[in-house]
Amino acid sequence: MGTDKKKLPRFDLYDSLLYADRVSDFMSRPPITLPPEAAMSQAKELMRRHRITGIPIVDADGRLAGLVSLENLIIALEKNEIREAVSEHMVRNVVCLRDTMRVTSLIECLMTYDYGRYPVIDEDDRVVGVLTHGDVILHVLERLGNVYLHDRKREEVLTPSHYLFNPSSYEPAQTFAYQIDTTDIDRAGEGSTLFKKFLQKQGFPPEDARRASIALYEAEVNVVLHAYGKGRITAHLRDGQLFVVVSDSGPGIEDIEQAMKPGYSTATEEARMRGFGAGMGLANIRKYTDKLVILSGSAGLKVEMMILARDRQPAVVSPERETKAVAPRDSS
Amino acid sequence: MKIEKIAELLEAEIHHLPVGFDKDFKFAGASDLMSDVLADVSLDILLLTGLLNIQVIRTMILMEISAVVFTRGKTPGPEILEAAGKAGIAVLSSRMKLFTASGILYASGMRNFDDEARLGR
Repeated sequence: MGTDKKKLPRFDLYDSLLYADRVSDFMSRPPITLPPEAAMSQAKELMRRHRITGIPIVDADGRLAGLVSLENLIIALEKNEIREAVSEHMVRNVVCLRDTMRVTSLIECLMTYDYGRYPVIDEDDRVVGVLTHGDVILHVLERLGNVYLHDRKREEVLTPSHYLFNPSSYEPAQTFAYQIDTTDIDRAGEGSTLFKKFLQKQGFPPEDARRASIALYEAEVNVVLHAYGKGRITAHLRDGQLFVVVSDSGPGIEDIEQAMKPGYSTATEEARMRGFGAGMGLANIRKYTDKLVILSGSAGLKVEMMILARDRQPAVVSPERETKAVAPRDSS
Repeated sequence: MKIEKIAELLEAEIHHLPVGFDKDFKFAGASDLMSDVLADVSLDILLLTGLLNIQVIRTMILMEISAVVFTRGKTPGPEILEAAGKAGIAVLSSRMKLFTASGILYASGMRNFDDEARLGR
């Protein structure tokens, strides 16, 4: 019944974040198993020691024979049959997963059944791991914490998230803006050096200012090398959180996964002559930022970075600086 | 190693030396790819490069690297010297090739910047 109510919300998001992942990538392994002839008391001991709530029962060939759950254990205790073999008490009809199963099918499966854990079997039906809801949650969190790679059609899904900022809530003086000239390769990097000065003026911790400027420099150079038309840098600083957006009206990135790989480059010979195009751009940006969102689409590319002040020095601007920052002044 | 010593070893010309510049370099890095420099360098080093353009100086400003040797006899123009001057960067140029210049400094005890951890700095 409950199954009917559960829809598959934002299935797109799972698909884009986890499309290449298979169950074997994040299941718990090696599996903690018992042979059919083991006693229920052994199952109890294993569950207690490993803090697990179910144990696959595996025959001599490593194949799944059944599963002992907490419920089976309670019943055995109630009936005072704790010394009996697990084969007398186990569930025989067990829902298990194939190790090559993709996350998208997995989520469907988790929505259909209501079990807490699933034995995972390989192509020879041998038990190679166990998957719990906890494993899935941890894996998704890991993916989310890493990097977001999306194209524009995901923008709607991303917008409500905490890491995207709302520009209207920032004081003008804490905002940095720069127009990137995509026609003059000599000026590539100018915005980033100005940006670094801006951060220093704002009292952003030096080490974090360094990281932020390097990330921006790579993004800026990318715009000059690959985009045509206009490029723009906008940055907002508040409470030790720095948000930087670099957008352009270029062709976007054809294969973001590929582009993230160190050494991958589509730069021209001219760019290489200038010391660019080492293929480290996006990899460097990822390295120096705390959050990174790349939105690629036909309208151009948008790179959003978040850098958190984590240096020991005070992240928030000093009171005197703050007064100065609020006072109207020119943007130089 | 002080700038004067570096200049002597590399038979280099000192184009700009900020007032009171007294750094003693233990580590150096040689690259023509600024992105590689951006990826790896984590401390103030002597940068050797065969690349001569304004982006070298910009990269150095961002990475907080304070001295550069342009190799292969490439002489920095006024734009580069002005930017370096503003940023307090020492600028040298040598006729030597990047490989030779690196080799000479290595033989004199200078190490690559990522040897930092190994040498327990």
